[in-house]
Amino acid sequence: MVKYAIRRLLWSIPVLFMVALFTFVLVRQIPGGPFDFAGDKSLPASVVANIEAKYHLNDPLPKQFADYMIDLLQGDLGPSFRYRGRTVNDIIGESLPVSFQLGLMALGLALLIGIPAGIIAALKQNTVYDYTATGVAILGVSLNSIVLAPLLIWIFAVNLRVLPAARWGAQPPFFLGILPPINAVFFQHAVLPVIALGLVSSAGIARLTRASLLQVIREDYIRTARAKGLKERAVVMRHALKNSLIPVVTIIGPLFAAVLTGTFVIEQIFGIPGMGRHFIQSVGNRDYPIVMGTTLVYGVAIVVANLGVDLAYAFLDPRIRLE
Amino acid sequence: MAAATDTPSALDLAAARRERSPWGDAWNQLIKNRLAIASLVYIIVLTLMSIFANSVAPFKYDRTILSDTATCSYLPIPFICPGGTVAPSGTKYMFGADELGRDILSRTIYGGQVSLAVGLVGAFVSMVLGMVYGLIAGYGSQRLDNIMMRLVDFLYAMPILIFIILLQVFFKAKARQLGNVQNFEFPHWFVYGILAAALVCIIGGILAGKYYGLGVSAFLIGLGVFALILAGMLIALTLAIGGSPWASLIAIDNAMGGMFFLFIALGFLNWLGMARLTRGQVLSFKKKEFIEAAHMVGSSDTRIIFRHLLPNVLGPCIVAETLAIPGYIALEAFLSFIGLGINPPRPSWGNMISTGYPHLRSNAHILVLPAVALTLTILAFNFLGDGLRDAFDPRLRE
Repeated sequence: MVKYAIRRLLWSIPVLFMVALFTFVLVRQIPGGPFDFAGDKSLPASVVANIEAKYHLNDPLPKQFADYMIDLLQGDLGPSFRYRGRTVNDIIGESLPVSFQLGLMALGLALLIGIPAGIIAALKQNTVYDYTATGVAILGVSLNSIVLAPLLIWIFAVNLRVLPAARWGAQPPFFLGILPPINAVFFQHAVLPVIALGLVSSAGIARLTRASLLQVIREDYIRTARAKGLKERAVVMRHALKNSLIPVVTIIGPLFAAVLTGTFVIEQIFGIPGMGRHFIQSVGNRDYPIVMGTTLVYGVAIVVANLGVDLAYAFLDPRIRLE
Repeated sequence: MAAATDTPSALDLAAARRERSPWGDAWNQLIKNRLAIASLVYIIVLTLMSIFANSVAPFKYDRTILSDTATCSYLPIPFICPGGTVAPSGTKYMFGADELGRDILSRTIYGGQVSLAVGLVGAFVSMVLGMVYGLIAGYGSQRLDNIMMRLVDFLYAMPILIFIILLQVFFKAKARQLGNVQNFEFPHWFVYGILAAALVCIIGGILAGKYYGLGVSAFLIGLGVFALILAGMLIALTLAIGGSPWASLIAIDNAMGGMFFLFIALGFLNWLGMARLTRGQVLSFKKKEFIEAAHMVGSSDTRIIFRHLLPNVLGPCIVAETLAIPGYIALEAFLSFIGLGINPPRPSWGNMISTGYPHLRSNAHILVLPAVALTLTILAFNFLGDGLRDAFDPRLRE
């Protein structure tokens, strides 16, 4: 197990390196530079050249990359080109916790709704509960957050006027750098974006849980458990659920990536000052260091999520380890 | 001879049995699934509407009448249009006009072109790429398999969506930089060439399937040949236009309203899953008795692949690809939403929602039709994919 974990961990180093290299090269190939415009006015070429020289943008690309990697290894993501006097570390330090809070709550909501709904649907197969759950679930997977978010805003913010339509209810600095304040303002602002982000995923989880549990329940060892006179509750809780949740664990990796993607849209629609918004703005601004920094954070997040899932999977299913 | 009419001979039985191919079985199963069939009909109708959008849509997608800005539908849709905002001229628009006075119904119909094209082409590209890759990995030597699948693992771990966003920004900026190729239209020889190639591939595929004993594999070979011809035609077109490769590609992209680069970005992303699936399927079938038997009677590798492996692998792949289509459609909507998809004024459901949602407070009706169309289409592909999966899975049959 430890060996497996170490091998998986080492595997992520070249992945992250390639992410950095590819992003670094690609973002510099995009026509237009970060200093072509100041506000709406274009700068004279000589001025642009001077600024670019200051940020070493006229060095050969390999040297730029080497410099960047050396800084990166010391934890320095460089200065922002657009936000004068602010470093990428500052910007990520402020926006990452917001995205993290949003994403984590959405993920929690997805699991909290999805797993119980899937279990109920499977245990009461072909009853009204099952049909309702599966019907709602397939509708849920088909709803897109760019449809769901405006719909929720229209219902709860525009018409019923019970919840705010935009912004995030908490600002940095956060407690321990990441924890939001527990107050009404925060939760009021969080409700709609979290639902818009999490509901779609919860439908997918419900479908997967149901399918998986239905398969497990037909296995021989479940019949054995029933045959030796265990109560239905014990059969389901102790024997069936454990195995049926393995596929659900494996989907958390892709799910995590999906939630990350979702934050791009949700942050845009709700005007939440998270990392997704910074990323998209900075690609447009050619703010290379912010693009690099945010991409690397996303890369690390996805690598860590996949790693966690793989380890959990190997822990739950010993056959994987022996591969 | 008379006896044969009473008791069917072994030959008759065999003939009767042969009619029930796995594909026939799957089809019979699918027919029984009313939701899946309804979805299929919906998708076909939508496809026809998209193809003939010029005749079906009441107006052209970019017909702008500023005095009609945000007029409501003449239909009494509850909640959406607060009473009395229907302008006299509003009667022209069945679902109202958008924030620039363009007919929402027409734009939604034209937007279907984009979503369907992206969904179907995305599925096509990733299926061809992924199946070829997975087949080579699964059927080749273990070492080759190891190398090829390590590469897939590697790419799988990357934040691919971010790369797609960067690629799209790159393509868009490149297009703006070289921007003087706006009114490019495909030459006739190109359009007719592609249609002819498609026709030849379909007919050739059917003939090959029937007379050369290739069965459904012919379908896949046809797809592959068509993909090759398509690539060749694009290169020929690039040479014919005679500009730099970039200028030509951007001209093509403009003619397709920004879809071409979207296809490339999507193809870049989505073949990984298909490659994994195909490879897994091939590996599991490779060890089965009927493949061993085929080896034993001296079948060539080509024959084994096309006659025995592919027909078995194809079913699950088609199911997976159908279930992946909603993802492509959603991804297009997402990219168009953040301004990296279809070039305005060409509509897509994503960019219609994107430009409409700032008007949510005052004119929510702008969003209704594209949102409904997007959801229904994704729903239809989900139902169809579920139906296909059930149809192809004999274990679920009673």
